[in-house]
Amino acid sequence: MASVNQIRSLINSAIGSKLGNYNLPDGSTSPALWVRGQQQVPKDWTVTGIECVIDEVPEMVNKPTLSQQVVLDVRWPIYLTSYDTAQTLAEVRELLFQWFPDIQDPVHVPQTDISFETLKVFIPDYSIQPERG
Amino acid sequence: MAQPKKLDTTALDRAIAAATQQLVNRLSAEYTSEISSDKWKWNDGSLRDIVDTGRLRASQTVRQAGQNRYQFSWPVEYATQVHEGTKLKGGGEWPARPWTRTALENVDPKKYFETILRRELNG
Repeated sequence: MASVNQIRSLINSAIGSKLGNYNLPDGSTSPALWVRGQQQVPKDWTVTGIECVIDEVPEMVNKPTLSQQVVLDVRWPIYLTSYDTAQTLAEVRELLFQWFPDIQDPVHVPQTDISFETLKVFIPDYSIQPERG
Repeated sequence: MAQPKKLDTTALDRAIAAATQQLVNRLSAEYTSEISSDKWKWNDGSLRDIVDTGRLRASQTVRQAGQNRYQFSWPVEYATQVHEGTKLKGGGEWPARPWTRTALENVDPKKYFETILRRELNG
């Protein structure tokens, strides 16, 4: 199973150039790519452009097999939000699908009068646990 | 040479249709129950149901999409945003409240269907 840092690095390679920035209170900026877990995006940061958030811990479902092996279906949830109402997520979506052809369960929600455009996808990360005991 | 016999699947077809219908009824009740349940964490940490005006819950629709195929939908304009969560243009966000997923976890449709099917077939 990959680490969240490996996933972050892959995502950065795939769509990093399309992402926007976090604007920090001291005037500096940081790429809008966040690993959400112990730390949320600080409330006094603002976002411009497209933000990508990865959950620190992936979803996991175990599938028993006829042997004592267990197949773990691990998948990483990736959340994209376009805070720029003139910039859609279509191009980023295409890039993600090219990089990760086995992406699962995409949910692409257009912007409305009250909410920003969002896209949620899951990147699978298969893992087989050998027999124990 | 023996004449081929056509398998009579009438009883099986009837049992599948009955089990499917009962599963649809069970899921329908569970979806409504999940929307009405005050189990969903809101931004302030409190637990709430997903009922504000009641439009979302009342919009629940099930239609037959084929033989033994049914489709549930919630045709209000904000249903996906409530289900998946969203960032609001005015600031703040709605947390994801995936009532369909939790309902499916609660019911375990495969097991439920198998139980009903077995009962229908055994009479």
